[in-house]
Amino acid sequence: MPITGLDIYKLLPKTNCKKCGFATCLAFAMALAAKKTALEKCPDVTEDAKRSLEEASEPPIKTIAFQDGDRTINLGGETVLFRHEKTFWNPCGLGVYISDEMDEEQIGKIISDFGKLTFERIGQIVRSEFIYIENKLTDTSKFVQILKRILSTSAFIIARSTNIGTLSQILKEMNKKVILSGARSSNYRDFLKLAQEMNCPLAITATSLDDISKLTAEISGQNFKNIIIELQPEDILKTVNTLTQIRRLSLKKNIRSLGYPVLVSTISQDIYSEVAEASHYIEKYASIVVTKTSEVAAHMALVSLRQNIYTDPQKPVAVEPKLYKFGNVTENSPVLITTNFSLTYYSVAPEIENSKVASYLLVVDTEGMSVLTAWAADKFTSEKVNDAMKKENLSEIVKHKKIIIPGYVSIMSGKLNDVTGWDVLVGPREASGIPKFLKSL
Amino acid sequence: MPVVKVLPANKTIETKNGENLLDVLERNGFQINTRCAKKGICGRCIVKLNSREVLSCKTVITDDAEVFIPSASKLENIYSDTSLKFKKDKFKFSPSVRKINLKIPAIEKNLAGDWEKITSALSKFYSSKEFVTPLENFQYLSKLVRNSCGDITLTLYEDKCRVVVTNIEKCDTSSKNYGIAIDVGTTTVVVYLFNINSAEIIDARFSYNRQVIYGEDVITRIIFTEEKNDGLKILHNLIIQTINDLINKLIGENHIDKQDINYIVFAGNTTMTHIVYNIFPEYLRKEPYSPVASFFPSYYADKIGLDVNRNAIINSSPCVSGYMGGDITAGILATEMPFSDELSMLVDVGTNGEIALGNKDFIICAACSAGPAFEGVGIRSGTHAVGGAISKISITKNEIKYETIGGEKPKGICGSGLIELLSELLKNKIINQLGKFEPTHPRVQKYDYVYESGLEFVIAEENETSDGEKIVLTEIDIQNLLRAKGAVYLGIEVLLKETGFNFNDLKKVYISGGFGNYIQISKAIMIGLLPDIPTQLYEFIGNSSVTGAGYILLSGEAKDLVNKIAEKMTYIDLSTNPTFMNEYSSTLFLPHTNLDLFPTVKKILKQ
Repeated sequence: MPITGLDIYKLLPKTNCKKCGFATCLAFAMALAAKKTALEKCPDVTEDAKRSLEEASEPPIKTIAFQDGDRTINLGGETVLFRHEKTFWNPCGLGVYISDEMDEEQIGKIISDFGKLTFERIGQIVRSEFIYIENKLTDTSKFVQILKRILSTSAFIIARSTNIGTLSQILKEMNKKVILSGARSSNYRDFLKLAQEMNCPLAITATSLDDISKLTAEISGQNFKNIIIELQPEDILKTVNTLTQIRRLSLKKNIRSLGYPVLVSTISQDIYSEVAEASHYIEKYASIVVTKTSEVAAHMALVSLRQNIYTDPQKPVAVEPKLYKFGNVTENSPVLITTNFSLTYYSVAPEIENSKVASYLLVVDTEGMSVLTAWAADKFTSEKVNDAMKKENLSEIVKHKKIIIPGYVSIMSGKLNDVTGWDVLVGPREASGIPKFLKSL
Repeated sequence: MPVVKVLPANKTIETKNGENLLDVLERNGFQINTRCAKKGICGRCIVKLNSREVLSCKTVITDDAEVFIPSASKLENIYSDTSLKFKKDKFKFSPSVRKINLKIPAIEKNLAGDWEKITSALSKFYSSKEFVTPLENFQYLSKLVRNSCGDITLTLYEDKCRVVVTNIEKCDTSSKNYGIAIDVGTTTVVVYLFNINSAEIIDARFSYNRQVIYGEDVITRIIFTEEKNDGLKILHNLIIQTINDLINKLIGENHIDKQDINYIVFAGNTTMTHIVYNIFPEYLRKEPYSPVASFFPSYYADKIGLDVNRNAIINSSPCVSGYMGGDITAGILATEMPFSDELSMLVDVGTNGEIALGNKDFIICAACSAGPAFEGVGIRSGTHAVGGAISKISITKNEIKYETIGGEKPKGICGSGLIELLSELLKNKIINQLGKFEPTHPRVQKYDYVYESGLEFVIAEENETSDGEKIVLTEIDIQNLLRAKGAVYLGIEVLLKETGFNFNDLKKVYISGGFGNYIQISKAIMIGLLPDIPTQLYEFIGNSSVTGAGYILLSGEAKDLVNKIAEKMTYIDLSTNPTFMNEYSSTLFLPHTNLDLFPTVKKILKQ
C-alpha cells in the first residue's frame, strides 16, 4: 500500500505556514505522496519525521536506472496496480533475443532488423531498446564476437553467460555495461562481484516466489539493490500469474524483497502467438519483455501498445483544433462549433455522420476542456471562436454567414454575433439532438 | 411621457419615452421572472402589452399602454428552511459587538478630552488594546456627553488588537443590541435577526436572491460583470436590495429600530462574497481561480449600502478558494467535524455541490460542479422550491401520489421531488439502470419538441396543474440529473480516496443545503447520489451556512475558529483529478455500474 497524503501529514508540523508554497500542510503532504514535490521544501520538518518519511516513502517497487554511456533507461518504480489509479511511470523495455547457437545469417538478420525498430508515433519517437544475448555454447569465442558486435549498436544489452571471467574482460575492454543475467542462489556470488565492480544491474532467477524473495533479500543484504527479477520461461498463464503476484505482493503487502523490475522472455513459436504473448506481459506488469521475433511488424504493434498503456491518463485527451469535414461539403454546408476535448469531439462527430447532412465542424482549442467547463473557465470565448474562424478562413469556405453553437452555451450567442458578425444559431444541448437539428435546417 | 397601467395590480406608472418595459416594471417593484440577463432568450418575462404577448425585456415604451403581468411571469416566493439547528452554548458566548453603559463622573471638572475620559474608562475592561472610532463620532461627542450628564452607552467591536467604538449614545441603551446573520446563496438569501445580548433568535426571513434574473449560476453572473457596463454595480445593488428588504421586514414586524442593528455577519460562496463587497469577481473563473481575498477584514455597513446603523460592523465567513466559499466554512463550523476525532463529511447540495471531509486534524474539500439540476434548473418541468413545487412523490403500480410545497396546485417539480421520482421510477422498474423508460408503461409517452424528441413520463396531466401545462420528466432530464448526482457521489468518493479512507470509515455525514430537510436519504441512496451506508449516520443540519454565521455573530471564539478552519482546509480541484475523470461514466447509472457499492439498492432491485 503506497503511503497516503494523510500518513505524511501526520508527521508534518501542521502549522499551515505556507513556506513550502502550498496552501496547507495537507496539500503539501498530498503532493508529496503523489511525488509532485520534495520533502526538503518543508523547512520545519523534524529529523525524526524525516527519517520515518524517507523510509515510508521509499517506493514499494525499486526504480532501476540502467545507465550505459550517456543513455539511461528506467525500469520498475511502479506505484499502482491499475493505470487509472494514477499512472504507470516507466515504460516496459522491449527487446529481441539472440543466442550463440544461431547461425550467422540469422544473427545478422536480427541485428539488422533491430536497427529498424524505431518508429515515430503520435509525434513521439518510440523504439525497442534491448538485445538479449545468451551464451549456450561452451566455446565462448562466438559469444564474444556477437557481444562485441551488439555492444557497438545503440541497443541496451542483457547478457546471459556463466563465463563471468570472459564477460568481465569484454566489458572492461569496451567500457560498457550490460544487465547480467543468469544469477541463481548457487552461483550468484561471482555475478554479484562483477555487478558491483561494473555497476551493472543483476538479473536473478529462482524457481519459486519464495526462493526469489530469499535470494533478493540475501543480495540486498550485501548492500546491492540494483536487482532485476528474471522469470523462467514457463507456460504463459503461469508467467502472467507470477507477474501479477509479484506486483500485488510488492504494492499491496509491501513485500520489499519482491519490489524489483521483472524481466520475461516469450516462449511462443510463431510470430502472431508471440505478439499476443508479449502483449499479455506488457499489460500485466513486466518491466522488460524479450521476444524471439525481430520482425518490424511485430515490434511496431508491441511498441504502440506500450505507448498507449504508459500514457498518463491524468491529462485530458484533446483532438486537434481545426475544421473537420463530414460528407461532401459545399459552400452551403452548415458549420457547427465545439471544443477540442476528445470526449466532446467523439460525441459530436458520430452524430453529425448519423445525420447524413454534409457539414463542417469547427473545433476550437479549449485546452482539452469540454463545452461548459471551457466556457466557465474562459477558454471557450467569442474571441477564441472568432480567431478559429479566421484561422480556418471560414468566410472563404462557406457562402452563408451562419454558425451553430452547442445549446449549453446559448448565452454566448449575442456576444458571438457582435464579435464575428455572423448569425449564431443555437443548436441542441445534447449531441443526440444533432441529426434532427441538422435535418430541420 | 407615456403612462403605463399595470394589471392586475392596477397601478399607473409614468415612464420616460423609449424606456425598456422590464426596467420600468422592476423599478416600480414588480419582480419579473427572467433568467437570461434580459437577452430575450429565456422567454420567462412575457407580459401582455395591450393584449398582445411580448417579451418585456425586449419591449420599449413609446406610448401609453396597458400591461398585464400573468402569474407565470412573476418571481414566485421561494421556500427555504428556517428551522435552524442552533445550539446556544456550542461556543463561548462572547459577541464581538457589545454595548456598554458608562457613567463618566465630573465631566465639567476634568481637563481631559471627552474621548480620553471614555478610553480611560474602557481601559479597565480592555487592557493593551488600541481604541479607535470613526471621525464623525467626535463631531457631536462633547454635546452628547454633557446633555446626558455623563451617562452614555458605547457600542464596541472588539478584535484581536483593537476596540472600535462604533457608536456613542446618550443614556443607557445597552439593552438594545441586535445582530443579523445572513446566508447569501446564489439562488436564495436567508436572514436571521438575533438579540445579541440574550443570544436568541428573534425571527427569520428568506427570499430569492434578486440576481437570479441575470442567470442561475455564479459563472453566468461573473461573466455578466465582465461583459456588461456597470454589471458589477447592478448585481451588487440587487443583492444589497434583497438583504435590505429582508432586514426591513424583520425589524418592521418585530418593532426594532434599524439604528440598533450593530453587527452583521454573512456567509456566501466566494462569488457572492465578492459581489456583496462590490469587488470584481472575474478572476475567480480564470486560472488559477484565485479570489481577491479569502479573509475579508471588517467594514462599516454603510460602505456597502446596508440599511442599518451606519457604523454597524459587517463581517463575512472566510473563503478557501475560488470555488470553496464562506458558506462552507460557516457550515463546517456548525458541525462537529473540526472538533472531533471521528471522521465526518459535510455534503451541501445547492446550486453547486460542495463536499468537505475531515476531523479535528485535517479537512479536505472539493466543489463538484454538479450544476443546478437539483434546483430544478435545466429540467423541463423543473422549478425552484417555490409554492406549488412537487416535493414528494410515491408510485404504486400505475398510481402516482405527490405533495406540493404549500399544498398548492402543482406547477413544477423541485430537487427533492426529482430525487424521489427517480428513486420511485427505478424501484417500480419504469426506468432501467441506464435511466431509459419502459415504453409500455401507461404514463410513458413520446414527445417531440423543437430539437428534442424521445420518451417522457407524465407526472401530472394538464388538468391537474396550476398553469394548465402537464408536468413531465424526459429522458434528457434524467441524463442531466444523472450527471449532477454522479458528480456529487464521485466528489465524495474522491475525497475519501485521496485521504486513504473508505465509506465505512465515515462516522457521520452532515447534509446541508436548501432541500436538505426535504430529501429522504434512502431515496438519495437509491439513485446513487449518496453512498450506501447506514441511514442513521446521516444527519440533516438545515441551512448550516446561516447557522455558522449566527455562531460567528454571537461568539468571538467562533469567529477565530472559523478562520482557523478556513486556513487548514485543503482544496482538491476535481476538474484535474484522475479518479474523477475515470470514474465519472460509472456514476452515470442508477445507482452505479458497480452494484456492489450499493448493497441495499441491489437487494431492492433484485426483488
